[in-house]
Amino acid sequence: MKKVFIALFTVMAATSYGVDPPASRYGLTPGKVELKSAGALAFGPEGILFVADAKAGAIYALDIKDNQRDTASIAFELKNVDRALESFLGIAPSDVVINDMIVHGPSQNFYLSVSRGRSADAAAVLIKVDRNKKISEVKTDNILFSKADLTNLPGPDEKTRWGQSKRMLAITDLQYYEGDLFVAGLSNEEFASRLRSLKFPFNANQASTSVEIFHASHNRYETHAPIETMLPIVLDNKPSILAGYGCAPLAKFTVADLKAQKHVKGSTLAELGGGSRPLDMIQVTKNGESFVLIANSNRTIYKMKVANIEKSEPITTPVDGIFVSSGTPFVATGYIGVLHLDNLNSKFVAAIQRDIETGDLNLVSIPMRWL
Amino acid sequence: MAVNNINTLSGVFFTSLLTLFSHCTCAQDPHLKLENGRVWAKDLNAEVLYTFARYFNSQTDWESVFPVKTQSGADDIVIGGTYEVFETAVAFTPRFPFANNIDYLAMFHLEELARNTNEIYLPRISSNPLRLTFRLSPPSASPAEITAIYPTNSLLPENLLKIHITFSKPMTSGMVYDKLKLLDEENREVEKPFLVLDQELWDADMKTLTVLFDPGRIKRGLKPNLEMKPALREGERYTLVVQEGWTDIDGLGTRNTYTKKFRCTEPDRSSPSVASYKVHAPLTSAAPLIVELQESHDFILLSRHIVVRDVTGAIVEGVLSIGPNESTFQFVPKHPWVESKYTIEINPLLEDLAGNNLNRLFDEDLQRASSNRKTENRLNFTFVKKEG
Repeated sequence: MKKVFIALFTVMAATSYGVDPPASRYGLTPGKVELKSAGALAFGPEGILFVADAKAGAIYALDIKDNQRDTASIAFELKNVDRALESFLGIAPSDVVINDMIVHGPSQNFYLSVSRGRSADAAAVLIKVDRNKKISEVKTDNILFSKADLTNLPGPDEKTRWGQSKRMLAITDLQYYEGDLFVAGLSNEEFASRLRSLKFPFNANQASTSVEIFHASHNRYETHAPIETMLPIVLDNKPSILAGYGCAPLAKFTVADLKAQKHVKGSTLAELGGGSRPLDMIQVTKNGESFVLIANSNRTIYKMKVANIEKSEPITTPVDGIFVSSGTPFVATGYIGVLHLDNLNSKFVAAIQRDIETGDLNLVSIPMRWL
Repeated sequence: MAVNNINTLSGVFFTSLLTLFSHCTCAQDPHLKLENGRVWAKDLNAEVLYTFARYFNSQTDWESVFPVKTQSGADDIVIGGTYEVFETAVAFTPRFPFANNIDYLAMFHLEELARNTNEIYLPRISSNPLRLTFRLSPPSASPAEITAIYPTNSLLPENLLKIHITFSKPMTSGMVYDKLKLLDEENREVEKPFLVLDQELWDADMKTLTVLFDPGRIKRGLKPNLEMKPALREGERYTLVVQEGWTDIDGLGTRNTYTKKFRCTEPDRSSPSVASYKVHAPLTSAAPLIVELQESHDFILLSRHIVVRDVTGAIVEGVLSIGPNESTFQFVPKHPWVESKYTIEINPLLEDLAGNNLNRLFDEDLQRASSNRKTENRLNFTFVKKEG
């Protein structure tokens, strides 16, 4: 009997984990993905990596099959990550452009989207940096994938065949939240900031929705400025999107509104101070309390209590000075030059950081205890 | 050479000594060569190569025997690529083509290739690796020139949203905020006039660049607007400067500095009005349809957001060209006009220079305007053949 039970258990385990890989659950099929550009990155369910390819006007979902597991809470440092990439890609340092960095949580491996070159023939490369600092390429010539096309959005173009599109798309951020992939960006043709929401698994027959979002300034003029960075977060028990804009309002939208409406007004909770751009936002927990960390082009990492974000009232009066901040209170930490930020483990967050004294670009961990 | 035909183990071994380590005249010495974008280690000893490949054929093994690097890069990282083993040669194909103007170094450690001593006896060998340095030069080319800066009008609204710069050949990214400057009347640089984007807005072949004025400084009531004021102000004169040295696809910098002088007019806070467009119906069956738009429009949108339909609703094929100041266009049909009614249809997304489209203002005052109104976007004309 014992043997039979063991056998049965094995079969059940195989059914739930071995036989039914993520690919079949998420509609991924094998094939070659030729990235025209590799920009914003996000992880979806079960280690599926989303890559924004703005040049192709598409988002790819890739099964990168990273089966490594690392639960240690230790630090990481790869100094001069740009020089390492220069060597690996065989190109001049000025021709290495790191577009985004993300950590695969279970393995603590780093994934970088990189442009090799700055001209029209630049190659888009996905790079993996493992815990031993080994650099490798995520090959996409035979990979399980699916693709969502952003160019065939429903809109005024739908009924009329207009001339050859010269749309140039910039995708500023990508975030996955419980079956929805949010894509922020703008194009040279329609400046209006659109937040596109795609259902995942991608379904070719299901149109993606495009929500026109704005946040009111002093309840009077609406702004269609592009979202620079966003963070899915539960605020007051409601799934929400925290959105950071250039120069530098911080606004919130509820996911329910984004899914139900075509034209959504968010509320501005904070002004992070003029002359800056928020670059990345993550949520962390420290001593049982939840915080949002904001990396910023011209500031140190800001730390905000989620409880304070929840308590914040929309800003209704302008600040009185060029670099003055207002709204949700925050602490300006001592970490500057952080261009990309992500969660790493319980004791560290991951960052690509420009050392302001040496000018070096490093892939590092920042200890939570100092944040 | 007779000795190469001896098929016994000792004979093969003898050959290997000759080709790998001696300086005899019977075969070419092992050497490195760059050929068709691959680095070759050639004229290696077949048996030694075979044995190595049999025992140590991993990527890491080959990377240590046959590293190819950039001379300025990190010491311990080799260029990613694939190794292919032939009878007497190994080829390294870089994952991405070798680039121009970079110093590369390829090495081949013969000593390491011969490190397996299980099957063959090796004498003392030279520890000097093969070495090849190379640098590719781009084909001779002339540097890019700027072919146009849109809008071409020299009177531009204070709330101008976009400019488009077109180049004669593909360019490189990462230079726009260094090379593009806005100077005021006294040639002082206007601070932070443009929206900084990590992903610059280039078209696919990187010959047209779109730059946006910082919307925060254009929109009324937004903080940057209050603090920094609009970058452009009514009544003032400005010079847009595209400095020399903007690198093109061949690594050459533009030779000339380009300027565009303009004066700012009052902000444009109204949508383009199709009703005000003046249509000049074609006078002959091959003549152009000419439309005066009464104001300048965005060049890129105007290029593609107009269609002409015949009486059945079918699209009329033809060539649309944009007139001076982007305030007129003309359309020449592929086939002659026929006596009938035609419709000009304008995509409501068509914008004026301030980003106002047919249905919505860029900078909407919520206390006044009704958002997303629908306006007329069609104009009709009839082609009538003149008698005689």
